[in-house]
Amino acid sequence: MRAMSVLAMVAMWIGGAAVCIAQDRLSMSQLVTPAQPVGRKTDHGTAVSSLPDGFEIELTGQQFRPLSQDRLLWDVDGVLVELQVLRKPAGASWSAQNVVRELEAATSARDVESVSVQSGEAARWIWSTADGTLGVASIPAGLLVIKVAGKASPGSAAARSYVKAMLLTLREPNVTRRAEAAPPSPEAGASLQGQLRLNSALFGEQYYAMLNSRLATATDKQLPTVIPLDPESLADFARWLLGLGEEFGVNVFDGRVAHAINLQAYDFATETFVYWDPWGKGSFLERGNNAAGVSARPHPTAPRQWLISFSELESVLYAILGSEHVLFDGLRLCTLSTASPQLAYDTYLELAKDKGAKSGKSNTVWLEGAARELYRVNRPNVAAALLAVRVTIDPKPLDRELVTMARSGGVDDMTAFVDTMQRGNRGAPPRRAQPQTAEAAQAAEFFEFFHLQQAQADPRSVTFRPRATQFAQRVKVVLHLGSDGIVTSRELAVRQSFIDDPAASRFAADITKSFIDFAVDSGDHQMVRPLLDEIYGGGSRRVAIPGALNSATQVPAMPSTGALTYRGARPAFSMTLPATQLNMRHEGNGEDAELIVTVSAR
Amino acid sequence: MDELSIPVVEALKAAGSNPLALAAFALLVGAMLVVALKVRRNKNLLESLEKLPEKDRLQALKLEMGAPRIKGGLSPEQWLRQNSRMYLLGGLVVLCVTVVVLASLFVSSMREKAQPSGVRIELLPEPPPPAPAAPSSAVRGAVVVPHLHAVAQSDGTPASTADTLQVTGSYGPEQIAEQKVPEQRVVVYQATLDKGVSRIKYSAPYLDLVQAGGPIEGFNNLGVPFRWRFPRLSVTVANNTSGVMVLSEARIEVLEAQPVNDVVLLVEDLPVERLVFRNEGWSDVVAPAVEFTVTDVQRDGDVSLFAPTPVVVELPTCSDRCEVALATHIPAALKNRDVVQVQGSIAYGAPTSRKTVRFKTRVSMQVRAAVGMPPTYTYDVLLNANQPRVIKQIGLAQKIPAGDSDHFALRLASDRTARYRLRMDFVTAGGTVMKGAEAWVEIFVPRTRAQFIQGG
Repeated sequence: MRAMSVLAMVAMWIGGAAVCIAQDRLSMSQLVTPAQPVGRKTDHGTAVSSLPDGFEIELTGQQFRPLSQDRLLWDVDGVLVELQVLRKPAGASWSAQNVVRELEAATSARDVESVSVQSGEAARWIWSTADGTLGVASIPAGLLVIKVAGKASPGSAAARSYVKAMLLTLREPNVTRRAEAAPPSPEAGASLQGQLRLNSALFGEQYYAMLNSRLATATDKQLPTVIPLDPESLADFARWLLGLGEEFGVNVFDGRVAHAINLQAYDFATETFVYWDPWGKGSFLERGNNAAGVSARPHPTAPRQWLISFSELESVLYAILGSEHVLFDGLRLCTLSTASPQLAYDTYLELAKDKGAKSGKSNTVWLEGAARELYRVNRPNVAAALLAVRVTIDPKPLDRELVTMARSGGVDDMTAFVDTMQRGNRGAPPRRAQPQTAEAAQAAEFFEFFHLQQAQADPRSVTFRPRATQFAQRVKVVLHLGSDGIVTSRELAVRQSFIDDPAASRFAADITKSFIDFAVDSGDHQMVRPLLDEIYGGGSRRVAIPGALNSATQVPAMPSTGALTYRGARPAFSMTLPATQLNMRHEGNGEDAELIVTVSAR
Repeated sequence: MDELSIPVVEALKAAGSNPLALAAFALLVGAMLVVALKVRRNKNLLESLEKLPEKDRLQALKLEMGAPRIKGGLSPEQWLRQNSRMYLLGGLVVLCVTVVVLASLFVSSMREKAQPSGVRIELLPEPPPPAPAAPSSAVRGAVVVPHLHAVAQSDGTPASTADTLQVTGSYGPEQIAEQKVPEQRVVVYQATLDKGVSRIKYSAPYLDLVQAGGPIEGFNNLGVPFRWRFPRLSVTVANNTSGVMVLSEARIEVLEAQPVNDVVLLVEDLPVERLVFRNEGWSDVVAPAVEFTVTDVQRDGDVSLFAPTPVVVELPTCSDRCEVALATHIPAALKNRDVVQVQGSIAYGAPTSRKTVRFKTRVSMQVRAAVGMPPTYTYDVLLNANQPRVIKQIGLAQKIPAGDSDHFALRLASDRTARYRLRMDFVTAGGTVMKGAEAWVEIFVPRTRAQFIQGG
């Protein structure tokens, strides 16, 4: 009998209050089940906590019966209770009071009461609806919504008292308890996430994983520091990194269990990986020790080292684990292997300034190794550019082998080649850009498309902002004028929060790309096109691995230094074009942080 | 003469078992023969002399005996009688010597009979590998494993058992994650004496738990499922003879072999994205049906917040591994969890004799890299459950001084879980076979570990 009444209440609940909310501005889809909830028994009932949403609340009652497989909906001593959260939209302004007022309106609230709490504690409200009683509390993630039905009549004193008692138990979740719940790693093995954290902590450098997208679990794929690749590309990328002289750890997975080994070298003559197995005796990849059927063989001379063919490792390679500099340097070289030598030279020269001792390998050694590998895979132009960077940062002469390689690639005089690279576009005489007045500039499609309207003007500059209020404070365009009224430089200021907001980043990228396209001289469009594609296209570009065994293999392209500056990963960027100079820099901190893009005539 | 020769021959045969006795016997026979001939001759001569005149008697004695020197005015008759008595005295001396020798041999023989050379075979108790609190693999402290002495003598007659419990060596190389295997899954061997026949059996609380229907909890699939080793027999050979004994061979005769066909179900803890049952028994898991729910990982005091939805999955008959892919059975609320809890029951077997085992375990939604080295289980003698009536010969070079004893161990292995009726005999360098007693020995071999059995 009681079960039937509860079922009836569930039906009423789903068809009643929920629809009320859905019909108004706050749609039902905005009220969601709290993330990763955990329940535990207490003296008086059950405590429910959610670490991601940042709350713990206690429900009084001895009989606690879950009613849904995916909602926090329970029968607690005959009372129907559901917990939901209304999360703050990322990057948007948020006022709990305003949202609560919207909720009140959406649920036809009666007898709204603010539950008095101590100063500094989360604000809490109660009101009655036609179907029950609602309790709402401010939590770090947004709002916690408690819906109660079946306690006396809807909105009765007893029901309100029940919700109020529950609201007063609201507190921060017990972080320690959650940490203890994690399985112990020594006996259970190290998860990919655990391995990345451990390596990052040990070496003081962020570690990432290139992940086999076909073998990977859904949970592993969603880790923030993994880059999924198809198995063929993953194995080829491992081969590529070894060719660059890197050594790194990999996880191998036979479909049942996984193991970690260190890849140490690659024999290109026999297409065989050389690895070290931490097992003192034998190897997981030896015949009979794995369910995948691969059969590594012992290295003929080196103890504890093993040999495995490319195809066999490809079948079990689960993840490549590497530091930021190892993996990203490998990706960047793939990206730049077909670029112009000048771009490669400029990029690596700039990156050389960043490389510190933590990279574990000096720039000189890395550049020489990378150049050798590029010569091996027949990329002589970029190889020569890398050697030019090497000579620029370290005047020590190249060894005979590298000189011979450079000559075979068409660079007979490295000193002259370095001079050419150093001069670059800066050495070339500037091409005169088309002069433009402020009025002419305003006539450009850019101003019209983004509804830019003049916000401020003085003799030396004219400032424009978008007409739409949600963008007006996020974007600013300034035309700097000379004494003759001719535009000397064009400037775009974009709030970094606008660029970072997942919901709005597309608009930020659109206006930045369009601004550069508008501001550079028409003759320079071709040269900035790759950068504009990167800014607007995000990280979706993929490039081939030079000299890959599988011709179809591709890896994500590394963003250029310009794109990294746009995303806030680098402080400044400068690009000298034949007619114009493009600069990007960051100014301000926190909410005021801005990206300033300036384009001026050379 | 023939009647006389039979006992002599028999006596010679009997005395032939001991060189000293043989020599003494020969000396006695020779001496008696000489004494008898001489006394008989003197008796005949004396009778003949008495028929002659008194004055001719000395001359006749000289002609017969060759110039005997008769002193002190003895008459020839008196000299002959004295000569016969001398022979009898000599014979008596030889007889006494022989009696002394035989008495010594008899005493020695009786002493050997009281302390015979023999073979004692017993289950060598081994401590389980160290528990987490005591991580060293060295043997320490008292051993509580029951034991048995299966004793055999060189003459095949049973002897009384002695309560000397020897512990030597260690449990063997530690296997991966073995220290974390709970006591429930520690396999021990116990021995009992049943009507004079020793019976050595394995046992583990977990095996009883599975038979009782569980509930079983997940085991670390990166490690070994059981703490177990092959049983080690302690063989003590005592040499109570007066000479050095050299054992050259042990012979194990498999009188009977009975494969043990059970299903020993385990459920893996933290397999990746699937529920995995391991069968360590040697019978297939017939038509398994798994009924389970997937929830958040629950510890003591935890409360499940979502209503579990039972899932029923029927699987084809499997041998050592039954798997249920979980991806489609994870509730939406538990998506993206690192680990989920799965509990329920598995039913298997023929329709008329289905068994059900309840289980509770965790399933990892992440790959965990940590698989350990494969285990190794060594042995001295490998028995085949499908090959009865075979004799396994083990070469030995066991040299045991007189009056001493020596001890060595034999680790018996089986290619699968089975029960054997065995007899272990020993052969000395001289070819003497020392017969051992029969024993029943049960040997436990987890099915998925059989591939790691290695000759010692």
